Amino acid sequence: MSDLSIPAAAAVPRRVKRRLALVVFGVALGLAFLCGVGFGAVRIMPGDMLSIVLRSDVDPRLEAVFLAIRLPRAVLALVVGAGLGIAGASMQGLFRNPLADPGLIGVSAGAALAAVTVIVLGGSVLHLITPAQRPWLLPAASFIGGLIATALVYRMGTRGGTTSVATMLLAGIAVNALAAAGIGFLTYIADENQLRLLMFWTMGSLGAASWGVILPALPLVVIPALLLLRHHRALDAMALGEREASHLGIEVEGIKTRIVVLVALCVGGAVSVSGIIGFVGLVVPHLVRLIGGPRHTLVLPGAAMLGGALMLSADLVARLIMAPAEMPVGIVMAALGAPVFLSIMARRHAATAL
Amino acid sequence: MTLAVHELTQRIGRATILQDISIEVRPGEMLGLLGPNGAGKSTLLGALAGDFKPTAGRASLDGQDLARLDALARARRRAVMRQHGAPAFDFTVREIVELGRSPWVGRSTTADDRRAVSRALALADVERFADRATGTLSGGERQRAQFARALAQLDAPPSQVAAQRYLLLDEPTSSLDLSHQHALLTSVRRLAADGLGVCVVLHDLNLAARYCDRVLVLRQGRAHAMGTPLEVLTPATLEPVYDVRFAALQAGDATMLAVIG
Amino acid sequence: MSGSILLPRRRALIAAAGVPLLLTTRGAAAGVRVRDARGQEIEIKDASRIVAVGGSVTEVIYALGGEKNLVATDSTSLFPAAARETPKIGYMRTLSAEGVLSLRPSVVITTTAAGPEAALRQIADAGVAVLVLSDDYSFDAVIAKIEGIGRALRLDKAAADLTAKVRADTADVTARVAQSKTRPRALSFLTFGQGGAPQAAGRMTAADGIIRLAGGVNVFDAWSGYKPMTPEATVAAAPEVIMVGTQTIEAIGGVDKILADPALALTPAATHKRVASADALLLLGFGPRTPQAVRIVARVFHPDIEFPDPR
Repeated sequence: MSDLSIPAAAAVPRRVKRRLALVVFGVALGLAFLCGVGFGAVRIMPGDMLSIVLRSDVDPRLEAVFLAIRLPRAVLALVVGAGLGIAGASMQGLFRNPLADPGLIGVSAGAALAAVTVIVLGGSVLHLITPAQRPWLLPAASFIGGLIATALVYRMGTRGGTTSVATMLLAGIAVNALAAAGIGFLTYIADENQLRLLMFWTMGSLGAASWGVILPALPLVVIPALLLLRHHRALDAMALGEREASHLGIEVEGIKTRIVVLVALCVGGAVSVSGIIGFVGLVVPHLVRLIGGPRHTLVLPGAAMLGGALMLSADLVARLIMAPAEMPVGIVMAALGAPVFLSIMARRHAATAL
Repeated sequence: MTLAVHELTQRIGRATILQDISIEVRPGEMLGLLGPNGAGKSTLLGALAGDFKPTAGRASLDGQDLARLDALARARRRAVMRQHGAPAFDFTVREIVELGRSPWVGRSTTADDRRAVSRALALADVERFADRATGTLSGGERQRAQFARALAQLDAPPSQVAAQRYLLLDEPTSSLDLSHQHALLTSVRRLAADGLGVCVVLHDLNLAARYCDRVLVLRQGRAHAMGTPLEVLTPATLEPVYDVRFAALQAGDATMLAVIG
Repeated sequence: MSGSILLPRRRALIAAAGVPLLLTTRGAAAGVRVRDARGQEIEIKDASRIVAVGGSVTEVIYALGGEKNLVATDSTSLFPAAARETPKIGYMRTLSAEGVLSLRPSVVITTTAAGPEAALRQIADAGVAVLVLSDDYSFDAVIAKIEGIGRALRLDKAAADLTAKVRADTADVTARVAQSKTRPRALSFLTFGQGGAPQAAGRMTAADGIIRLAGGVNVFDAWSGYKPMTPEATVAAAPEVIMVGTQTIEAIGGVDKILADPALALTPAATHKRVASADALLLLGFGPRTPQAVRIVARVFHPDIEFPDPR
């Protein structure tokens, strides 16, 4: 660290940047949503869409596709993207590390293990539940699996009322590895059919979106996300360090617990209906910070909005690129996310190399 | 009306960091904490900050047990400036200083906050680069930014001014160049003169001699000497603590200590 | 609000809420009712645009002459050759609801192997008749498929002809198989030697079905589904015949390569070079050519008995 101060160009006040950024993200989200409901394998003209919304006469097939397939799917994409975005931002604030991602606390790994277990071994349990409950088995199991894994990570990182973020990180790595081993084993003994289902799930897909499936899942993602928004001040303070945050009046231990719980609920809820979709939680907060700075009054809502917009866009590509078949959205997200992530990293490297 | 510790003992595992310390930080006064590394200075400052519940003894604010106050209540009565590295994210100086206003949420208007931030930026002499990201600053500039944050925290809104406030500083001059060291400590002295109670951990004995009203010298967790700089900062008192030889030199009206062996 | 304008919109709104469609025939032509794999009666009013999911379903449609109404098939529909030229909607287990609907089908015919269930439900909710036929591995299931599809497409005459032919063929093969005094021990592989353990066919697989119909015994029937098999277990099982698809043989580079594999080299099947193979769709598809598949395999199982092709 040199003692020479680096002169910089006159900066636009951050406050202004933040407001602008929020507007930009809001517009991006709106546009993405319109594209998400406007485009798809079935061609629905804007005129028809207007008719559907205005409840006037229109081809029932188009109406059904729009209201029962496209709309719930777009809503799911928005909610899942927003949830993963804000959860990722919260994780990065909690771990004071811009490379953190919700998976660190084990929630995705636990959810994946539970889901794969149901897929491969669930056949023997199926007769215990009614056919009406069948579609619930997988999402419910994966949600619970995610919570259990997070609880494990949290317990391992907490001693005598103090939660060590560093220890949680290590515990998270262990839990992720354990889950991967379990998934690997189950993959090995799975048959053709199960293998396909399991791959489909671990690559993420919004294809199961129907109102019946997503309406119960929405509050599980939306409510924790809204609660996370309220922690913007605490996360800002914690960026200075836990001691400093405490000196500024933040109840650090309570905040850490609360954030871990909220992220587990939010991500668990999202993963249970859409499978594993990576990169959103990692990349979106970065982009938001790049545009408007690190204050969480922007980063939290911004990550939610940009996450939703990104997910809607990725799903659009997933649905159109191989129409009439569709690609798992997790793959599209990784294909979009990885280059963006690499360029962010390259930039950081260049900036700090002075 | 003081910030104090009473018969404070702090042990971590088998190690005794502090043994039976009783001191108080008085309004209008600068108290210096001196001693070699490992003497317990930072821990003592932490106890005064209310960072932990001590193994034995207690910390008190205006007679009330410090542990009884929650983090927010403490934050409204005292500010702490410690050394630390760059924040995890690229905040601007202004954003860092704005964070100093967090304890006053709900009790301060936006206008009050803006004014407090401006005053703090000016006093810490960081206005010039207020809107630059901390990653682009030197160590000394970052340190002054943290000083500004602590100042912003102490700048109580009009309705809250009455309560006595304290400023705790842990090696606030470690990365500063000479002129800024004196500028910072002079600002602090002025704040003390206005009524602030200040406790500062210093490495530099001469700075302590110049700016502190009283000093406490710690040796291996125990109070070795306590009193005015004139009384305490003598070769006889200090040589056993620092294991070096000092010579006292007169320079104008100031006494300087020089290491001679 | 006049009744005839309200009804189609109401129906779509009910569908949008996820409630299964109530099929009324008010104001529409009477449809045919076909019983599906779950025992439900599906009404098919309009078979002018068909989407077929599953190789055997597509085969039957072509065999009945109903291909002129076929608008799209899935990726497993490879026979006859013309089926490969039809628009493809992807793999049968990973369908996209909107993708299928974009082809404006009036009926989707498939088997229980298709999925995901959510997609099929959404397609049905959009007003398209979805006929799910059973994928049981038996001659009866084949007949049921032909009859069901025949009914759905109103090609009952062609279906009757085809089922008669299949029944006769089946009877012939079954009778000849029954003549044999031996029930050879057989083992079938789905994939082999392409990295990862070979997937052997346990109970409740098409391969198992063929083995039994051809009068053999599946040595791997302790498991259900396709499971990886250790070389030691293969040797211990001592199969006398190996059954495998020709695509798998080609992928490895020939029958000799397979038999040289340590897993198989020590089996009686390798020693006596008894391998039954046929095109994978023919062998395992359980379509109208199933009797032919059984015949091919039975020839290897029971070399002492004659299995002439039908005239």
